[in-house]
Amino acid sequence: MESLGIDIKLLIAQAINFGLFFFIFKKYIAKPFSNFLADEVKKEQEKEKVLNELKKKDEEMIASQNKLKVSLKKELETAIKKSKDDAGLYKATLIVEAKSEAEEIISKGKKQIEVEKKASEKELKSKVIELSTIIVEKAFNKYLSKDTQKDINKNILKNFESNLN
Amino acid sequence: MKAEIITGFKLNDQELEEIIKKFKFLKEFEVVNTVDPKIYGGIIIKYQGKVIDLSLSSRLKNFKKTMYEIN
Repeated sequence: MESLGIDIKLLIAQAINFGLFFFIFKKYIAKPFSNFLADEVKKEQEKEKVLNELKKKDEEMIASQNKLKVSLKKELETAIKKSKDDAGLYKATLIVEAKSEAEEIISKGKKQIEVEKKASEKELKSKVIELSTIIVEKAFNKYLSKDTQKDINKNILKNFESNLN
Repeated sequence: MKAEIITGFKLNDQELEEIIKKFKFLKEFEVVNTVDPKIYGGIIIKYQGKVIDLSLSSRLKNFKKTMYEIN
């Protein structure tokens, strides 16, 4: 060995030195580093998992929102349609009521006119009768002389007698 | 018993007699003639609470009543 230039002691010392180095490296450097790497990988995986879950939830939320939007839109359209229908019905009801009221007013007006017309006719008739009577009374006063009255008396008695017979 | 004959002018005896002749029941009454120009003509006989109205005023009144009754 010595002829080959190899120092056994030095070789053993270097072997021991390497063994110590290997032992120390493995125990205090390689393992923690390996654990650190494993932890990092695990953390990355968890992060990715969380991200995936968040993404999934986000998609679900978007889908839910879209569904809700569609539902709301549908409800809104239904409400608008119902409002239009109700408005149409209300309009029709109002028209019918207005027509009915108008007819009632016209009917009342006609009745009132009729009542007033009858009252006017009655008043006019009364005036005509009273005026006629006054005219006849004045004519009697003016034209019924004593002789005329005598003739009238004779006629009345004659007619009375004929009625008795 | 009295009976009243109302006329528009004063009757003479002959006219009164003619009326009594027409209404024979008047012979049983003491007949008096009253003048009321408002009857206009004709005669009204009143006796024992009864009235025979043959005056123009009553005919005019009836005419007026009939006119009011006509629709």
